Formats: sequence, C-alpha cells, structure tokens
Amino acid sequence: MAQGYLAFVLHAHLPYVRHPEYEDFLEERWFFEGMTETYIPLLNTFESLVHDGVDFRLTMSLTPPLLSMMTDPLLQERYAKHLNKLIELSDKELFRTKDNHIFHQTAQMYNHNLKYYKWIFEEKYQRNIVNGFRKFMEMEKLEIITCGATHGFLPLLKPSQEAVRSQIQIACECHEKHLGKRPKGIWLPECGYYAGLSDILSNYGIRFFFVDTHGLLLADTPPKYGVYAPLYTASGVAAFGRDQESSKQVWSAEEGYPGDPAYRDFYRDIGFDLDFEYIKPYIHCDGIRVMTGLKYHAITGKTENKKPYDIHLAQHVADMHASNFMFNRQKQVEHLRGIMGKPPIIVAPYDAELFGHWWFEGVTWLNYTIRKISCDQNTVQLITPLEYLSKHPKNQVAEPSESSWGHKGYAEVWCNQTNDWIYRHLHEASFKMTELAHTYPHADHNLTRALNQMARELLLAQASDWAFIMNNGTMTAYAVKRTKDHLYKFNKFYSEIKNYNLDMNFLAETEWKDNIFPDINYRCYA
Amino acid sequence: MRKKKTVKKSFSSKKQLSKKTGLIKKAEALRKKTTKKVKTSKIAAKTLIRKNKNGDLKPKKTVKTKKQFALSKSTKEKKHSKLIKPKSFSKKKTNKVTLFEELIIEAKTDSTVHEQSRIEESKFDLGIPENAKAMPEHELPSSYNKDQAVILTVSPHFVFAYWEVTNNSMHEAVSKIGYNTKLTLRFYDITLSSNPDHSPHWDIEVFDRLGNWYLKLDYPEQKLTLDIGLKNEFGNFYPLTRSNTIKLPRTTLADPGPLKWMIVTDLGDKITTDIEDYTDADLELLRKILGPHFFDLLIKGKFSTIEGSNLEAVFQEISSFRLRQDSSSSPTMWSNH
Repeated sequence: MAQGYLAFVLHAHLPYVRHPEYEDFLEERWFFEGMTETYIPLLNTFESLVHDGVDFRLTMSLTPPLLSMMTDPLLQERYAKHLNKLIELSDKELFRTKDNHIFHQTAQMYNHNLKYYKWIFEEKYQRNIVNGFRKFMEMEKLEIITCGATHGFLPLLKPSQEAVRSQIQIACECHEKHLGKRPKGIWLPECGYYAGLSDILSNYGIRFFFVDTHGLLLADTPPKYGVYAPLYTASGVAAFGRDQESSKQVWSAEEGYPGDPAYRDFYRDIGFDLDFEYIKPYIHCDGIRVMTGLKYHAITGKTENKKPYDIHLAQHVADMHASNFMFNRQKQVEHLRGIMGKPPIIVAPYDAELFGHWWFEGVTWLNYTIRKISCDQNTVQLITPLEYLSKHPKNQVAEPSESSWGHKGYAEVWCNQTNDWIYRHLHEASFKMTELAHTYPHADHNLTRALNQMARELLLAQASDWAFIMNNGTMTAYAVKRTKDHLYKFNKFYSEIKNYNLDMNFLAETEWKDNIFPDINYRCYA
Repeated sequence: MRKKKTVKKSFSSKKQLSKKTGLIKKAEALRKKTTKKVKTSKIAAKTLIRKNKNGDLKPKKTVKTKKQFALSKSTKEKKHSKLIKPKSFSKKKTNKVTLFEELIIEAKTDSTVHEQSRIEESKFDLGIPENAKAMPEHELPSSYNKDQAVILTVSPHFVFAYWEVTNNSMHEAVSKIGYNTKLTLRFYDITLSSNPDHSPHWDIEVFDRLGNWYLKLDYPEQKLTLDIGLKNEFGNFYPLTRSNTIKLPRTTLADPGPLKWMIVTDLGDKITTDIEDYTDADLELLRKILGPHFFDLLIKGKFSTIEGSNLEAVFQEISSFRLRQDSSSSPTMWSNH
C-alpha cells in the first residue's frame, strides 16, 4: 500500500490568437509550436501508457482559449498547412544531413515524429485533438480542469465582481461544451487567489483549486500539515498547495533537470542557422527568420560553441532524471509519512508547455517517470485531487492567503510600470458591461449580438498574457495592440449602443475576427 | 515648486501616455544593449511617510527628486511607508539613465534569475525581438469623465492606486471649501474599524485630476481604503469619491487559532466535525514538515514563493535533515543524480 501520493498538474494554456484577416500571422505560431511540441506528444504519451497497461493519473488544465483554438476550423486548417511545411523541411533535412551521422539521426527523429503527429492530428482525431484528451478523461486517467475564461488574473480584476464571476462562469460553460461535463477543478489563472474567491468557485460546482506554497502556508490559520494536505475554505472548496521541492527539480533551468548539458538547446534553431534561400519557404512569408522547431544542438553549457545533439544520450539522461525524481519523491513521502502519521499528497504543477517546447525531452521524462512510479515501486501513488478528496474527505478549514505563482509571489508581474495602465481601462469596461447588462436584460437580436461581442472583447482584453508579455519586454507591441484593439472595439460598441446607432458591418466584421465563445450570453455580467 | 513638479505623474493626457510608451521603449533599448536579464525596477523618486504616535501616517519628507534619490540609494533604506513614482515618468533622460544603471547594479547583485518566468516566456519566443505585422494600434480614451478611485494589491508591501475626478466635481468642491485647495489622496487604515471616519488616515498631495501611484507600506494585513478630494489651507477635506477596500496579504505564519475540520462528501455536502486547539506540538510538526530553513523564513515573514531565491543550499539542507531523521532506519545515502 502506498505511503503517500503524487499529483502531477499540467497547466496547458495559450492566449487566443487567431487572425483571419492575415494570410500568415506570426503569433499564430505560438499555437502551432504548442501543438507540435507539447499537446500532440502528450496525447501520444497517454496513448502509449494506456496501450502498455500503465495505470496512471494526471491532472491537466485545458484553458478555454486553448480549447477554442484546438476546435477552430481556421486554425486547424492553418496548423495542417504548417505541419505539412515542417514535414517538407524535415524531408529536405534528411538529405542535407546525410553525411553527418549525429545530425542525420536527429533529422530522422524529427521526420519520423512529425509524420506520426500528422497522422494523429489528421487521421486519428480528425483535426480535433480535444477528443483525444476527452478520451483519456473518460478512461479516468486524466482529470481535465478549467481555468479563467481568457486567463484573466483575478486578483487584479476584483474591483468588478461581475468580471471575476464571468471569467469563471464562461470557462465552465466552454469546458462543458467541449468536454461534455462540468469541471470539478480549476487552475486559477497564474495561480492567483484572493480571500473570498472560493465562494464564487463553489457556486459553479468547483471542488478544488491550487495555490502556490505560500498561499497555503500563510492561510488565516496555520495549516497543520503544511502543503501536504489540502485546506477547505469555508465554502467547502479544497485548496491544494504547490510542493516546492518537486517543483524546483523540474522548473529550474539551471539547478533542475531541463538544464542538463545533454538536452536539446532551445535557442539554436535552423531558422537562423541555415542559408536564407534554403530556409525561406519555412519562415515567415515576409522573409523574417523565426524558429522552425528543428534544432540540432545540445545545451552543452554556458558557451556559444554548442555540441551536436545526441538523441540517445538525451534519452538516457531523461531516464536517469526520471529515476532520480521517483527516488526523491519516495524519500520525501517516507519522511513526510513518518512525521505526519497520514499519507501526504505532493502537488507538482507545471506549465504543460515546459514539456516538449522548452524542455524538449520533458515529455519523454514524464513518460518514464509515470512508468517508473506506476511499475517500479509501491511507496508513492499517482493521484488526482478529486480522487484524494474522495479517499480523504476530512480536512482542515482555513482561508488561503492572497497569492500567485508569479515572480515574488503576488501581482508584481501583472501590475508594474510596464503594464499598470491597462487596469483603468479594463475595470471601466467591466463596469460598463455590467451597466449595459442591467439596462438591456431583454435586448433584441441585433443588440444581443452587439452586447455579446462586447463581452468577447472585454474577455479577450483581460487575458493576463498581455500584461505578462509587456512585463517581459519582448514582443510587447503585439500585447499592447491586442489590449488596445479589444478595448477600442468594446468602447466603439458602447458608444454606438448609447447613441442607438449600431454599425452592423463593423459588428459582423468583429464577430468574424474575434469569434471566441460563440454561445456567450452577456447577461452573465448583470 | 520645482520639487513638487517632479512628483507630478500619470496618464493625465494622451500626450503623457505616449510619452510613457516612448520612455519605456528607450529603456528597453538600453536594457537590450546591456543585459537581457535586467528587470524593470519599480522604484524611483520617493516620499517617505512616517507613522506618528497616534498611528497616523504622515509625510516625513514631501519629495525627493530622482537625483537625490539616486545619490542616497547607497544608504540603507529607511523602514517607512513610501510613495513611489514610476521611473518611466522621468523628465530628464540623464536621470532616467542614472536610475537604469542602478537597476543593472541591483540585477547583477541579485544573482538569481526568475527561472519560471523565463520558461513561461518561451511560449511566446519565436526567436525574434518583435512581431512583424503592423496591426493597427488604437488609442484609448484619455479619461472617462467620472469621479473614481481604485486601489489594487500588488504585494504585502505595495499597493497601486489610480483615480480620476471631473472638473465639475472639483469646481463644486472649490465652491464649498474655497479656492486655496489642493488635490489630496486620503488613505484610511481601516484594519481595526470598518468606518473610515473613525480610522487613522494620512494624506498625500497630488497634482493631476487623473493619475496613479504606487504606495509602499510596512504593515502587511493592513486594510485600506482611499478618498480623493480637496483639502484647503485650514486642513478641511472635501472628499469627491471613495475607492474600493483592500486587505494586504500576510507575510508570516498566522497566529495559532482553533484547528477546524470539515468533511465534504463526493456530492459536495459539508459536515463540520471537530475543533482542536492549536498546540506547540502542531507548530513543531509544521517545523519538521517544512524543514528548519523554510520554517525560519516563514516565521520571519520572508517566505513567499520558491522563485527568485537560491535554493540549492536549502535543498541540500532538507536532504541532510531528512537523512538525520531517517538515519536510524535507512543508512542509504542519496544524491541528486
């Protein structure tokens, strides 16, 4: 019998980026890269685990923007084209690298993977990979949870309770539409919690959420078991806290596994390395060099002189790291069980895109780790939070502290001089949305369309990704423009509605461009 | 009067907004030139605020210019609440560069990089510094023509406040308390009483009818609200609008209280069960669970997130602590690889 539990939590999210008005839009590649490097490889891993009879449990958030992009026909079509282009490039790479054994085996790996991923995307799931995740959810291997409707950082949206509530309500509706059932758990955007938020979660049937370590440790009553048992808030929703040790081992680029010299280097990419004429068809149509995803060098160390990537060595290291992770969790569980007198739960949350995208071997590592934990030992058992609550329904009651998992632990990343200007406008738009929802509870067809579109624009402007990107200092123009664009459209509709003068052409065009949440009902802001 | 001007800030007009954007771009260019790892600092000119015997917070020194601040930066920061002016509003380029150089020094002394953010950033990294498409950029309204004040929690020690008051409201106030008035933010510490009128307060003079501020505070768990209004030469305050209320997060382990337990069934029914006293044994258990280092940080109020701290030594400490605990039953040595 296991002495404790390990809950892997993968948070899969990308902002809604879809530009039908452009033939080739750079930022749509965020989604394409996520598909090729993370989401499809993860599905492939789940498939292999089930195929081999490995009994696993994993919790994964699929955020509403991600679900919406994965199921959008235009993006599916564009991804199919992107994947075909990549396969074409990888075919050429087989020829280009034929005289260099070590590069050639990497080229073969890419070629094989990409063709297989194409089969999974096109044939197996008919372009809708949400059905793949849903399949593993229905097998009860995967607990799929939701997030904020557009990943709005809720502690900073709090001045409008209707804005916070709508982020949760619309997320739950979107989740149910695509996955067939209401979500039982939520990954709060950026792990951002504030006292009282759980009351809203409870109203939508949410049973559990996650906070960073300090969110739980600094609860209004000291937590008896630290982060190794959940707390119930007064509304009965369970808060699980992040374990520092397992997080650090994986998250840390330098001290943790992903920084190993044998692993593939993220930055060195043939999009920049190869002759322009050769690579031109596979970069941006304007001739702007971008990453292609085909990389042939290992991290090596803090040097520009990178060694060739050796896939076999990297897989061997991933295997070693998986053993090390399991060994450490065993020791951790034995230690905690000894002093707690009850089975601890170790919650290990990660950005899903860490696996495969940033840490190329991460998916392999996860695969090996799950297999080892399931088959090679009996100390630690994989579990989902809901399963834990079913086995251990009695827990301490306390209110977690306001917190996030961002740098420094609070709202510093999303509210500083690079991005604080957005909040005046976001709050004002939320107040106006509520005002109109109260003024027009029974709007006619066209007005309903306009009000629904206003709600979409508001939600899209609220995505925490824009403030995050502004804070990073790279690609900021896009984040600024997206924020302003959605707020501009929102304000234009507001002005037109107040003046009883709707521009139906503009409305139709905006509906075509910003088509997220087709079933939205603006009355949720009332 | 010149000193007061240096405090003036914020998005009172489109011009200032575009100026801010321009300055940020310049700062970005400078940063790229020097190091990629430097993060923007939040600190520029400061107004130090002192807490008097009655608990009121009062300005100790109205204004420090950026230059003064830059010169005194090497001295140890005083432990008071501080009003922070964002650096991006520096009027003189030379001052801004001075401040930015300070940041670089700060960043270099802080050897750790926020690794989680860097990994999260990779989601948006296409290998190019800027996107190519010239999406149209729209301007946002410079004001909303309403009286409003909003206060947001940034951290246990920082809040961000923004406000707007209309000319009409200001004229109305002037007609009530006279022309010799100053626009004033009145912060109320409502930790002990929910009624601001019976709570300690402190005032900060501002210069724009539309603006924002960062305020540094020394007391986590403080509950705050804010009025913006006009104050005349006799100290009479005419409030124009009141903000929302916030409570700053705590930074230390909560005071021991009763341990309440609850059962929540699979159907979501809640059953409150026993209530226990929090004892020294519970505290000792938590110390053992966390390990001495983290527990010490928690008690001292220095525990936030795992990021931004060098934890290599801490994990070694945890390992050795665990080894000591386990040594009687398991002599096996274990390491990171």
